[in-house]
Amino acid sequence: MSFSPYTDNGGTCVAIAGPDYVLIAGDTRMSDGYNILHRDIPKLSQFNENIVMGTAGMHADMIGLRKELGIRQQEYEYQARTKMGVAAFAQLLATTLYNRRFFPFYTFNILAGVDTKDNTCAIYTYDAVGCVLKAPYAASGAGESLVLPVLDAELKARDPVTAEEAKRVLTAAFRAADEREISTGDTLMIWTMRPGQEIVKETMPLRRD
Amino acid sequence: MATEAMAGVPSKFRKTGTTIVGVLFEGGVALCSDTRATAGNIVVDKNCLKQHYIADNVWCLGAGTAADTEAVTMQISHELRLLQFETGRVVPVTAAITAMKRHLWKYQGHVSAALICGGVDSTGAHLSSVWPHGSTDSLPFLTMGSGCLAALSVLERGWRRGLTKEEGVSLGIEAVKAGIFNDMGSGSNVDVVIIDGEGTERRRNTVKPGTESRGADVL
Amino acid sequence: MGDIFSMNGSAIVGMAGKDSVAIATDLRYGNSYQTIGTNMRKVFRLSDNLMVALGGLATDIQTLSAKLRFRVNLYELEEKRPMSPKVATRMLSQLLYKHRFGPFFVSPIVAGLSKEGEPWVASMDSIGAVSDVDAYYSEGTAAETLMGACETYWKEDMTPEQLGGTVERVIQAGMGRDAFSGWGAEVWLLTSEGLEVREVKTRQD
Repeated sequence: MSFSPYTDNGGTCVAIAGPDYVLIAGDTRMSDGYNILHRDIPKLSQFNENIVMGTAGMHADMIGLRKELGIRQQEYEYQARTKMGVAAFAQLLATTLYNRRFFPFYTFNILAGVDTKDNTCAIYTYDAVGCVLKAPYAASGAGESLVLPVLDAELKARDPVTAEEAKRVLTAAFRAADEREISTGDTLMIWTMRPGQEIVKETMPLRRD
Repeated sequence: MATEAMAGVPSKFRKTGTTIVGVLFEGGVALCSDTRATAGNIVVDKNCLKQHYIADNVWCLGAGTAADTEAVTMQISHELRLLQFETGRVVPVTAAITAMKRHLWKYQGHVSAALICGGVDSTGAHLSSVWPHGSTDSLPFLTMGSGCLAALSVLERGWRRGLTKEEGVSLGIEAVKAGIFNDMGSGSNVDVVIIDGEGTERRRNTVKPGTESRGADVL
Repeated sequence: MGDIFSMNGSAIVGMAGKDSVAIATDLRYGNSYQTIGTNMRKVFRLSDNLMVALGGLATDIQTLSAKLRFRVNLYELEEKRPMSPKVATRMLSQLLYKHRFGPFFVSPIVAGLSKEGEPWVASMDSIGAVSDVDAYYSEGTAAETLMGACETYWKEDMTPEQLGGTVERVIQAGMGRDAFSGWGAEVWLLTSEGLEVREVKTRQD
């Protein structure tokens, strides 16, 4: 048996943005193969009251990435004497991932944030090596292909929906992943961010089988 | 997975990444299974039936490639019906097990069916597991499939000689539940088939632990 | 995807409603990323109340549909009665398992109405493992994306009109996120009144 540096710990993340809100959600199951390693590991990482990252893929790399980003964020905030904005953080995440182009972090991230300059809400979606896209909604992880068509059908080519409507769409779409994708389950964490407000953190029970 | 690589076919076959359990109790045998069928990481069937009819007094649970478990048990069921016509007697459980192991051995593991076979005949209650290469074990409690470790821990703790019928059944159900919750290849509901001197009783979806753990949409 | 199942690309979904069944399929025929044709039919009406949709490798879809048609016709001539969808499912399953170690690279969905008008939908893998408990199944390269859409849009006891609308919505949503299927779609809606075939306008990519 040879050493293999990567494992897939499963799980799904979803985010939806509107004009004055952004939702980001992820399940809390951490698995390896057919084994459930933990039922309560959050996939959401908060960097300040305006920036939240959702990570699917390998849990150890998520911790490593989060640590590295935290350090770089702190450096930035000491030097610039100001809180880091989402746009800057989005670029930081892209370069941090690209720095490991030939030994990547096995993480599939989405970034949700509130831009304090103009009070807009934004979502950025990444591949493992730092290709970044700004999007009105995004999904990543094992249940991505089950969730995205539903978000397309409900949100694409439509006027912005209310936060409540977006949350309904998000939970309905996440149910599909919960029901049909085996590594997604246990608990759904949904965080709602709004300009100038604290993050509202909610949970919803998912299947435990 | 290995068997599919050997056959040179991509692993798109439907599998019953399963927890199946057999428990002997006083005078009979209980066979319990989960109801999830998967293809890769996707659930293709949330409430599939893993019990297979062999004869009125013999039933089987199948794990592995779904098409193989179905085909093997059908084939053996027909063979046994012919045997019954020839002999005019209730078929012995061991005849079923022998027919299965011969079939599986012939295909050298390429027919990837892992079976738990239980029944009652003139010599009493029997329980055996049949492995994809054709080996068999005859034991008072058995489990197979991807959830077998979770299930086995429950069986090891709970089984004793002289269990009553309901004790045997609930032990089997608890074992499958352990598989449903702790093994991602297993899920949804529990099906039970009970065979004793009285006859055969089937309980479809007797409990629904996976489905019920889903919870309501609270948001 | 170097997989032989996804060489030509397909999106098929079958769904049951109240006294009705529907199948929706895409129309693309491709060779990996290159689109060769845009009107390849993947549903076959084998009897008045029986449809089979086949996803997977195009040559096997055609061969198998011909074999099926032959068998259903022979059965109906001999028996002097239509083949029920349940029997058709069993027959197709046997036909596929016969080729266990050199399979047809297809993923079928069988849909139909029984003599009593009961709706029937079943799917199977390429070696004939049948699933017939659920009310909807999806197959082909878009199986996963279609499944996500089915899971959210399927409701119990849909009227034929609702069912037609739902499968249309599902095929639109599911195909949109699959590179190997698309270029238009068909909805086949079967009720006691008969079969209604409708072409669906979709993204042309």
